[in-house]
Amino acid sequence: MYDGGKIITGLVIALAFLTFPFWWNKGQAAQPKPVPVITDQTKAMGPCIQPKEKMITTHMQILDDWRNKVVRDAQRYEAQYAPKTREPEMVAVEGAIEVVDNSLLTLPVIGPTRDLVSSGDPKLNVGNAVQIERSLQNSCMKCHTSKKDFCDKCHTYANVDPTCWDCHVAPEEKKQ
Amino acid sequence: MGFPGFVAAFAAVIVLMVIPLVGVWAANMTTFFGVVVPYAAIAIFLAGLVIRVIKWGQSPVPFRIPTTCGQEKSMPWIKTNCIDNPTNNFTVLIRMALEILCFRSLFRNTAMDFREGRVYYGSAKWLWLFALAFHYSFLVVLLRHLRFFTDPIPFFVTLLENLDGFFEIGLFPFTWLPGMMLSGMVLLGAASYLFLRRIVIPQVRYISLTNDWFPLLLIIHIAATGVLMRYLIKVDITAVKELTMGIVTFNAKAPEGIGVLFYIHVFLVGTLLAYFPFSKLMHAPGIFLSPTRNLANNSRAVRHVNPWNPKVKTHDYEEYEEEFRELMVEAGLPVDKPLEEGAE
Repeated sequence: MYDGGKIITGLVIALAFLTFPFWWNKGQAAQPKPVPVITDQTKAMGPCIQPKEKMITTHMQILDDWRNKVVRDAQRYEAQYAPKTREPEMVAVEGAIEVVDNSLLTLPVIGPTRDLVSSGDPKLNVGNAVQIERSLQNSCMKCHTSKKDFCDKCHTYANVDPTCWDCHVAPEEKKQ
Repeated sequence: MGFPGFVAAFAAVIVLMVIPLVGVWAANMTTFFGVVVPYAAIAIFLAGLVIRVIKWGQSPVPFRIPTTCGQEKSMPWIKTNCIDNPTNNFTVLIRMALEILCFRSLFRNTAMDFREGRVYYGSAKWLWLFALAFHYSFLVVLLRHLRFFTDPIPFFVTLLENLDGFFEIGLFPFTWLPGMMLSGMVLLGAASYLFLRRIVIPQVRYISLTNDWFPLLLIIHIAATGVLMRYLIKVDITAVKELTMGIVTFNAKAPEGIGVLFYIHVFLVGTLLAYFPFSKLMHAPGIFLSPTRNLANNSRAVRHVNPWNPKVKTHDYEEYEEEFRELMVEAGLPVDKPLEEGAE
């Protein structure tokens, strides 16, 4: 080899950079992904506004959409049609999700509700439609009461630092 | 080659996307595409890189062959261009740093044009600009991916993310992009420019080969699948990190419930890594080993002897005079060193 010393030194430096993740995590056991805590209390509050799989991947977009609608268009509420899989009484619980009367369904709505309202589906009755306040503090955090055990679990793991808490106040963490 | 080369490369990329699509969707081979393929790709990449560079190191460069772009160091009253015509290791270092970090030779790119029957040359900076944007945004995207491969996450990754998402573009027309990362968009845009350049300019299209199109299309599709995953067709990020952390701690198993788009992304990246040591992408280490750039132009100041030359028996003037001094003095020839007193 010609200029072997320089080339080998360069290679070693390059390999050190390229294998960075392997030695940075050295001696660490692979851990399963963190799971946000959903307490029995939360479960008792009824189903979430969207299925779990959808919430895992798109909750940030829902919140972003909510913020834009509330802050820019003053559309604070949305009505949602409860899917058939959900029992109407499960939806009609206190707190974030409450049954609204028909007049409120003229409020701006998103998702499947809009189609059902316009199609005049007879199945759409008061018991199946819900009104949701587009609010992190007043809706989401009513059920998911702990930021530490719910939000932060994945956010810390995936190095996500959402700007929610720049303005909102996180609910007080209950002492364990 | 031109356009047929493009068709071949594009077909190859499509096939490479269909393989994991079928494999994961139809056959549910998540372990193969999530664990086996990444490890194989990393192994081929690292081994191939080392072997190729060592092979390069075995090629002799007996002479100084820098391409110079400025006045060589000569008389003290002639202004030298020490960066474009470096004469020592320090100025070579500056030249190399500017080349690697700022793509200085691309900056010299010129365009030729016919106007009213005459040839005109003008500076053409677009290639330089988009190449720079492409490489740096790719670097930022790569470094940001470290959030999937490190725990705890190093500070510079968070810093980069914050800078990258600095504008927090989340309004019309990007309402579906919470926290848009600029680097991803710049990467996609710049790669598309480099691609369109080969399509649109006839001369460049003519000299473009399959192995020019293929890595470019591969990178465009990698960026596109990444951008899609981030903003539109979402995947479970924590499940992804569980897999990637498993890979870097040598304990990988593919968790349930990661979307197929992720496996397409990973398969394309794996292809890129495995293809790297055998392709034009080796310009990355190659630029460090370019003899036309990394050598000092000191052929006139320093004697360079070809390292494998056989030992030549020489007889220079000093030795010649030493041998024949007496005869030279007798014959009345001038000598450098006078005859010693009393030598006779």
